[in-house]
Amino acid sequence: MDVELIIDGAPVTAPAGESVLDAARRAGKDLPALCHHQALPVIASCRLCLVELRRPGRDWVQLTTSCDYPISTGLEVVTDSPQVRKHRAMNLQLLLRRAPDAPILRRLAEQFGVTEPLFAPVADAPLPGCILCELCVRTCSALGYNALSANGRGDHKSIGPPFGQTAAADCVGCGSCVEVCPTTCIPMDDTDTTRSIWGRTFELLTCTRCGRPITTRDHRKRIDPEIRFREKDVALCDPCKRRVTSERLASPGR
Amino acid sequence: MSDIQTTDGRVAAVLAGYPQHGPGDLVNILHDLQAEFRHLPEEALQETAAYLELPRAQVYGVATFYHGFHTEPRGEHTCTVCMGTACHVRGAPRLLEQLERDTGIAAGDTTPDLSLTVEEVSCVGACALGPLVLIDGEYHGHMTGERLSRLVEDLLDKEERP
Amino acid sequence: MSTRLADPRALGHRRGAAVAARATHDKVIAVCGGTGCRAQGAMKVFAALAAEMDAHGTDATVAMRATGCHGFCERGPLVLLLPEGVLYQHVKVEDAAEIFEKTLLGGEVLERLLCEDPATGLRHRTEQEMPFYHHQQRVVLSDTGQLDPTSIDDYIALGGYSALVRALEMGPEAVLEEVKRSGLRGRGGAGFPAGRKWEACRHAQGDLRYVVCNADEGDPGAFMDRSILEGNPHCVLEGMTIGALAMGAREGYVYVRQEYPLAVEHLSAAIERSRELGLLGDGILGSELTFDVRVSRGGGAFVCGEASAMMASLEGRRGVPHRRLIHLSEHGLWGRPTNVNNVETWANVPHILLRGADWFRSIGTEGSTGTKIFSLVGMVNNTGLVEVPMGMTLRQIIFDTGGGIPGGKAFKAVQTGGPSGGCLPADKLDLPVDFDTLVAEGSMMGSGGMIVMDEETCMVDVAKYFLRFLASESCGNCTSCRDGLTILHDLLGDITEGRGTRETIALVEQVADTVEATSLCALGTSAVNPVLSTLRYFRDEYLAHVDDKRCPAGVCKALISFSIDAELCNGCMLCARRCPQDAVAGERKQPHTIDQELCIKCGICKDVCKRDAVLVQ
Repeated sequence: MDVELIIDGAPVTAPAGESVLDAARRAGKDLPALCHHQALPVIASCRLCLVELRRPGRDWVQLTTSCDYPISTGLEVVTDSPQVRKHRAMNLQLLLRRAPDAPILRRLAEQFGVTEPLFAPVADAPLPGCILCELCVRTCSALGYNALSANGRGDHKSIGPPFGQTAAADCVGCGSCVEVCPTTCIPMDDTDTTRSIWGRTFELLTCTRCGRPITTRDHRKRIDPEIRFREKDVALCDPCKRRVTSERLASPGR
Repeated sequence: MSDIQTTDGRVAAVLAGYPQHGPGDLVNILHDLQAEFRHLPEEALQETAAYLELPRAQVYGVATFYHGFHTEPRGEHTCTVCMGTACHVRGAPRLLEQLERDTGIAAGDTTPDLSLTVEEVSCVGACALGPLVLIDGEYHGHMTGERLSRLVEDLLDKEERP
Repeated sequence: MSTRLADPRALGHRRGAAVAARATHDKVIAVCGGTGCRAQGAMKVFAALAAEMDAHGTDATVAMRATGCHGFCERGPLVLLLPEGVLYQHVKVEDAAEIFEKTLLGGEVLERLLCEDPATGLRHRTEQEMPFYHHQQRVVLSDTGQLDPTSIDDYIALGGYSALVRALEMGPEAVLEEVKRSGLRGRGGAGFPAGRKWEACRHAQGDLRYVVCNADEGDPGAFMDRSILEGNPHCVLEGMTIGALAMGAREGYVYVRQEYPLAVEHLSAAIERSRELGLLGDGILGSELTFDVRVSRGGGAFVCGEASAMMASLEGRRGVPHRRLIHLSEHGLWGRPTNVNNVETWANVPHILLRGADWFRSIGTEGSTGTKIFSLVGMVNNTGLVEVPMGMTLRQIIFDTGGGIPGGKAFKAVQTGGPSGGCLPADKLDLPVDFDTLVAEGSMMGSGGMIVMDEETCMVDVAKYFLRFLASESCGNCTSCRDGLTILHDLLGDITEGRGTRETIALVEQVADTVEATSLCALGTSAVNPVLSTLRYFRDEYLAHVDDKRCPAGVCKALISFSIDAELCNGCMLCARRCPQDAVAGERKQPHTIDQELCIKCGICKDVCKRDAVLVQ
């Protein structure tokens, strides 16, 4: 069933159960939400996706994160206001302190008028550039590997494998954490034959045609039993597979 | 059930006290393990994760979240200064500074020979007796700098005597 | 005598036997066994008195009991002699013989052991005569000094579990109505109407539901819940059982913070005793009610006092709160309807059932019915636990019950509501203490912690202290709380260490604004109350720190210096000997001086000087 609400003065129809963030984005609003991912549980960590809400019949305006607030009939949403900008800018400042060089944060800073950093960058962070959004943790958990966790709490909270950075026994080296990380702060080193990540070195399988990395042997071993790849299907990276297939289709005498 | 080698039946003994082995037992189990080992060794956490069928990362994440749990070995003796508001107002920070001076280690740390751990705690609920210091779990109220120096001396002497 | 009580009649018989057992002794020695008194050697005093009893062969006529907390913790070890009601303070092992022979057997009161009122110098014989107790109305704490918390029979003898019998007679709906009508509001800090919460849980969908007792009591300076659980655990269990009846729950949890081992011990023992007597388990007292309770220990996290974080902890996860757009009464522990109440809230329930909602409403104010227990601590003469009707003023609590400020110093501020609350100055002393009045002034009643501060407390230092606490207790989920509080603590550090400017204060207010407006849970949103309330009421002190680089209270080390008044110094060399830095110079009988380069401002010289010659400026 669809819900009718108002976003920035304009009526919007959205599916019931959707978050205000999703409905706003669908309506073309550019709301930052660094810790948000369609496929993952919401934790509302970054505090950037702020909006103002007014419910039908009520006077008062509520400032809230939008990723964890469900839409409802007659809800009035304002995605840009002095209050929203002020607090978003301050939370951006706090994030910049952790990841001063992250391109996404610099872009957001420019977009929302944050010109000068207010706070000195954090020193001695165990994972420099990490904004503790836990996208990597939630991704790793959703994939079933559970190799990462948030550890400690408060200002000393950190992300990493249990028992320290060099004992990532559950990690398969798939690199999904690197892909989802908004600040690309997770170091991953690929050579022709190896991948190093979270303090471990894995055997890296590369494309027999172009040499690009596909994934680690550990990762393949984990997913193989479910998908039953044929050897020739996994010897090529996806682009090469497409190329080989189209070459085969295009070749005469087929 | 467990594919992790343990040289110790002590962990298994603790786990056996939780026959329903659900995730809700985790924090209570960690308390019991810590009482047994004076900290939470990696092997114990691995075995607990296997027993409760929880990811190792979750067990570690929980163990490091709560200040009552320690993953590093602790000293045989503990000297804890209460830093609750009432104790703070009655001069607890000065006591902690003095303790750090007398022992040479910072709050949260343990002496290299593992004889003494110095720590601070937010409040033990004995506020009328502030400032309060706990030595090996024993409460010492209305603490003064002098008494504290002497108590620490006694404690460390105990260690040196064979 | 561990037989299962089949019905209320059996309970009645057991009560009769228990009362008779208590009455066989002419005299009772009740030694307070609360943590505070134990810390001062109460159990050794108990042993010494027990030895006297043996030596005199009086165990037929004299009973000995280690009771729950009397509340007057600073005066421990406390010994109460019944039936006269003589209360002795600071009792030592050496006093045991004299107490036994002279007072107990001889009827003579030992003046030196009577509680002294520091304001008047008078010594009082009984609790009723003491200002500390005189102004209180002890409902929840009425029995803790009378019973042995490890004895279920003591509890039963004093009327325990008769409220449960009444509740069973009334039935769930009537019990619910009574609790609603009483106006009981949560005593843990939020003050939500308990009856309404119970009703929501009762009507929530689902077969299984839980009642939970929040005994995390994380506010530093608060120990009300500790004393109730240590001193009279059965009253909480009875309250929870009544709640289970009203809400249709079969399982309960008590979540106790790990810093309270004695509370865990007494509570666990009480649960065992209750199970033995069938007061927990299947078919309680022959009714259809089935209910059991388990103790779960916290791991050491203030944030787990927040109900959703506590649920996470109970479920074996990190104590991270979640946004509660759906109430926990509908979707709580393990996704099931759950009712969480504080220890003191549960402890009030049996009283409401027995004496009625109207009686409860007759105490306190219209919006805040009943009594409230406060832990009155800090720079106040009579520190301890006080239970007073809601609506009593801060002045009455601090000066009438608390006996005012020690050492003749001036009152400066009172901090209420724990780290979520604020500091109120002297001109707010006539405000009534209840759920609503203090909020408008920038503080809150909270769970009952009341910390009194005098002229030697630096309010900037206090704000910094709270920020350090909250920053370390933040679960770390939200940027605003996690990083904002750290920044605020750093900025306060700048101010207390002489690096602050007016811009620093402006930045503090700016950051605090965002922490308050955009944090997910109440830890974050209320974390700014200490700093904002001190800025509101003690702005001059902040300005002295940033404009003049001066700490008027003489606390902030970077802004003070220690010196010796040559007029007062008699050259005894005591401070010189004690100084850990060898910073004191001077010959015997000559005035001493402190080398400012070496001085680390530890304060030891000021402590030991018998002439008050050390100046702090």
